[in-house]
Amino acid sequence: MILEWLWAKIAGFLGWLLSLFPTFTVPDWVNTIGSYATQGITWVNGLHNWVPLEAMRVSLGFLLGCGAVVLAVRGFRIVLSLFTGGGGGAA
Amino acid sequence: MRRLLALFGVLGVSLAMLLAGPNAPGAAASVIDLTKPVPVNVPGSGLGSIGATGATITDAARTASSTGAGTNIAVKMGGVAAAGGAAGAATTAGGAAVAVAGAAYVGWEIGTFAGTAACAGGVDLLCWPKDPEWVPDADLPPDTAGFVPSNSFPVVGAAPGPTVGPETTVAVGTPTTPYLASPGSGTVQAVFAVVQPSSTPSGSTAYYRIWFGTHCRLSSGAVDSVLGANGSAGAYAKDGLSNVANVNYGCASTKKLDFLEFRATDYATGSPTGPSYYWYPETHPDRPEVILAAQRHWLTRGQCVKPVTVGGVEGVETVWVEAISATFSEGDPEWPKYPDVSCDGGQLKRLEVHKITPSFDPDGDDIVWEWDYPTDGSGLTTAEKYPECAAGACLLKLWRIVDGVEMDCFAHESLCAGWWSLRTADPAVYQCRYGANAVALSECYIYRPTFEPEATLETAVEGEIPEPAYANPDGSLDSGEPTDPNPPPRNCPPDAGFLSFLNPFWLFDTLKCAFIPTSAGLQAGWDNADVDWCSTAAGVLTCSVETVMGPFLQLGVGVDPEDCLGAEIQFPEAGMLKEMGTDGGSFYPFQACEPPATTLSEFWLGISSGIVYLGAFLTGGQMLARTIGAQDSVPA
Repeated sequence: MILEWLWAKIAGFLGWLLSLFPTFTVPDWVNTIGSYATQGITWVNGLHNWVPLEAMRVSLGFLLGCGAVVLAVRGFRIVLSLFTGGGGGAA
Repeated sequence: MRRLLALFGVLGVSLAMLLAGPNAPGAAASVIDLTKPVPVNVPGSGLGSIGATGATITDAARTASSTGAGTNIAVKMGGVAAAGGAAGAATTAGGAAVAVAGAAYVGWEIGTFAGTAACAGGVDLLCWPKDPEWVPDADLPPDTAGFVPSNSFPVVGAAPGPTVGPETTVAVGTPTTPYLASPGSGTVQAVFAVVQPSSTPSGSTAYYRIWFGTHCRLSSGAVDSVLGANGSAGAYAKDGLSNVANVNYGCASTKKLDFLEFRATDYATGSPTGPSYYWYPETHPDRPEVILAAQRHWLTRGQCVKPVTVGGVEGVETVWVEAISATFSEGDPEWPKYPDVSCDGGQLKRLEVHKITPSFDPDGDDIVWEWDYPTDGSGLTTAEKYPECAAGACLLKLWRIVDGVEMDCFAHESLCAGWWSLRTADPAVYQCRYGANAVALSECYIYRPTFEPEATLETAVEGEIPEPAYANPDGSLDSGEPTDPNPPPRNCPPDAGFLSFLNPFWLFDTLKCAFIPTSAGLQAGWDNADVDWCSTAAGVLTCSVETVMGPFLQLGVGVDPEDCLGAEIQFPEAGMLKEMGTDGGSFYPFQACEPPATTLSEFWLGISSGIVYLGAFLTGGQMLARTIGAQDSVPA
């Protein structure tokens, strides 16, 4: 209950903070690529007898997760460095 | 050493969490395995009280009266003889008695009869006979006393001069002369039902005439070609004149009476104006037979639908079964019960009881009772609708119709991926069945997660689906609480009572409420923040990445493991491959349906999967290691 209330406040603050940054519209070709990717994956799934699709999906998810962690850690360091006067490596 | 202890500690905690989790043995009742077709008797599909002996339907629609035992019908279908209405002794009331149906397979009770309070009003079909004034054999042909077709017929009046009499009828009295009497003479009286219209001037007269002919036989018994004494006579009207005429008939003295013929006649010309009527003396071979106590019997006909399997394909066949009762006459003090028919494990669709009277209604056009299976299923449980599915004999299966071909979704999972979301656009594509019986598609809603792993049952459309259902894998009903995918709302904070704060358990629950958030509460907090993540500067990037990369996470999703053909390449109909005899121009370059391709495929998939996993592990580990300053994920 208390943490839920706290999270609601944090979410509100994050929402306000995010609204301060300018946004932009994603170009259409991004969606086009996604559409082509979907069609391509549908066809690639037909290679399941010879291509380790399951392993590739799991591995891709793992790598994306690792990339997300790397980005989060580095972003955290960058933000932290603002308060520590440049101490710590941001890269 | 400390690291080793920490590792064991983490493992121990993880194990404890697993054991305390919702899937822990004994934590709750078992959950139905929805990865394969389940028996029909899952709760929510209406199993009810069906037993090993079959199903019993009480046709409530026929229970027209709340009083009297004669309003109960019980139809027993399938299984063995049992129940379905009390077999018992005959009930006698109201001057008629009918044996009570024994209800072995199909039967019903009739215990209240004409003249009793329960049948007052005569609207209850089960009150037999319905009419309190009912007369036995009232449906039999009337006794015409030898006349064919009757002793009365229309005649048209005439009058000398301008007055023309109206049409009326004449009734001929019954002659008494015996068959083959010699000379066979006699007199009959003809009575004209003369009714002059009120506009007829007083004193007017209308004249009517009928013609009588006597058919005689010679002394040898041969038919005489000469018509006997012609009794042409009859000219009477009203207003003081008699409307009764005596007609004489008879053969010559050496001849014998055969039969009489008579007809309406034009008074002025003497020409016949209508068809001939006849009278045959008693013992004459052509005299109509009088049926005083017709012999009858009941014929029960049942239309049955049975599941059949021909060549491995499930289907149904429709057959009629019949049974006849013992013979009886309506004047008997007790009638036999309607005979029972059995669908022998099938489903009864229609029931008819015919009253057969061979002497004049051999085809049984007189249907005294009929019943049709309710097409809307009103009042019937699933078990009653599908008795052949008793005790889990049928599986609840989802089918996909592909170009008119029915494909089992459980054998071809990829064909039914996301079916629940797609069914609205074209519901004819999918079909849900109990065994061979097509049922509402919503009955298969429990298979939504089967073919859409990320879906949950609770997201289905409310009101369209039956109650969420659980059962044991063996098909038996689950009397315990199911493993709950939708935990009920917590009692948070716990109810407080007098001196609750002194109760350590209450204090613990209260603190737990305060500090342990629920996923719903966290979601609500985010939703209330009203942040459209994908429209924020940071979210645009992540959502774009998801748009592009998301499809790659569908690699291998929905692939049918039994599909050995793989990707299909279509070539023009007139292409070279077509001429080479390939399958309609289709080419499957990646198929692995037969050895050695299957062996190679399995071997290669195993090796390549290992390589991919190892590469991902090393690459990801290196990314993480460099992030935290290490040089390599794999220690030297």
